[in-house]
Amino acid sequence: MASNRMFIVSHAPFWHNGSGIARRNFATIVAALPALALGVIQYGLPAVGVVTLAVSTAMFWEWLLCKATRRPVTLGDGNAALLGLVLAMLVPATVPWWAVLTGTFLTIVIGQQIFGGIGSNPFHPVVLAMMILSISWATIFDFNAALVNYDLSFKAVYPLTVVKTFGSAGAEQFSALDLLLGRHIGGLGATFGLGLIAGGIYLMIRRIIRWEITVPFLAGIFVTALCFQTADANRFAGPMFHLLAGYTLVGAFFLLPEDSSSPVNTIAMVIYGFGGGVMAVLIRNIGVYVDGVLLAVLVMNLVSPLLDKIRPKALGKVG
Amino acid sequence: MTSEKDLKVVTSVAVILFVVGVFCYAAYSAKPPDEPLRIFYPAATGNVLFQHKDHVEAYNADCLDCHHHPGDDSGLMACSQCHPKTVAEGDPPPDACLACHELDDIQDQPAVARADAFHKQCGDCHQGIGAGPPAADCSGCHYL
Repeated sequence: MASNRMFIVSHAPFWHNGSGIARRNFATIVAALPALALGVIQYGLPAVGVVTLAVSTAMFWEWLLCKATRRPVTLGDGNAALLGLVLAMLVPATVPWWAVLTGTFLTIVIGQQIFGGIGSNPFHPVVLAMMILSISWATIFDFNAALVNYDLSFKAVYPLTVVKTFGSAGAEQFSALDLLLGRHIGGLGATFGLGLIAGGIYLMIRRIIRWEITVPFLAGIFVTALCFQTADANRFAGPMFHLLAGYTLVGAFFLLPEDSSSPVNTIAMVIYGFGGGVMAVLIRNIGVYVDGVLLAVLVMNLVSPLLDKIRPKALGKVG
Repeated sequence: MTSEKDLKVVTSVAVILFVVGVFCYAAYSAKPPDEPLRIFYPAATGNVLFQHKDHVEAYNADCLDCHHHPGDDSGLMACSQCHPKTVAEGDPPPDACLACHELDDIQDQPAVARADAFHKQCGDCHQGIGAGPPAADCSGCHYL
């Protein structure tokens, strides 16, 4: 039987394929750079300040925690740098320095180290930190308020706010091309759709993230948005808008598939991803929050261990 | 576990990034332009994002259409300088009013609160020219 091939094991010594946490993290950092680059081009040196401060302070908190708990310093694995970078992708370019410092503290200490460090966090650390920050200081993370002093070459209102307030007519201000090319306001590294898609495809090809999570998530967004639009086309925007606006793409490629907080079995991954997509659009369309992706990721992180109960029957087990 | 050599490299990178970050925040923070582009008004009934630049450039509004008092360039100041967020009985007039008026002359005339001033000014203007959201259309200006 062909399936028996998977059980063939050669004798030692074994050869390590080189894959490791550091390599995965640095590949993810590379994948995030195109999207961040456009943010830096649009918002200039203040954006550079946010990114560099987020990465460096995230590394500082991890170093401090390692020292305080007398554990080996693990800065070289790139984990803290990656988390700082992902946090920078989600925030506006004008976020104050103390919010970055607080955000990286929440990410590294509350979101990850308190649970035992890398691989032990039940929630995506950055998403947890962003939710705490955005609930605590809503105006700082309201993109419409944060970016009032930028003279941009496109309409500087947050697309999801427009749709939430004015219904689907508001979505007509933003073409799919605008959303793909980053001609709308939002998180520093969350608006350049093409850059995020390119980075996401790279991560899927390298199997650093699992398509079994990302693709069902996008399908969940599409199907749910289509259902809403079919029910009331005046009130709810179409699926393409929801796929390209807000945190959808950054969530699909950089948040939802995080190793520690997502399921490991295939069927569980599909349910996890699809459920995340459904939740995100439900929160956007009938919840009080403008964007539902972060909350959807947190909710799906919460059910991830339960979903992993759906597992293949053990080989050789009878009955 | 990171080797000593790698740790030195990574720590150096972190320190450099930190210095760059502090420098960018200290020297290149986004500063408000002389003339506002957009003005954000937080409100319990839904925030308002006023498109100042669009009103001036795209809708050809004259500065004095909104900055109506005293009717010359001296009135080109922030609305909140004459229209405080809240006005209670017995409140002294705003400092901006006292720059021109004597206290005795205006202390019997309470200032118009910002929200009331905006609702009247914006609503009347929109109604007068038949464009923009009317005062009765709350969600035309206020968003969640």
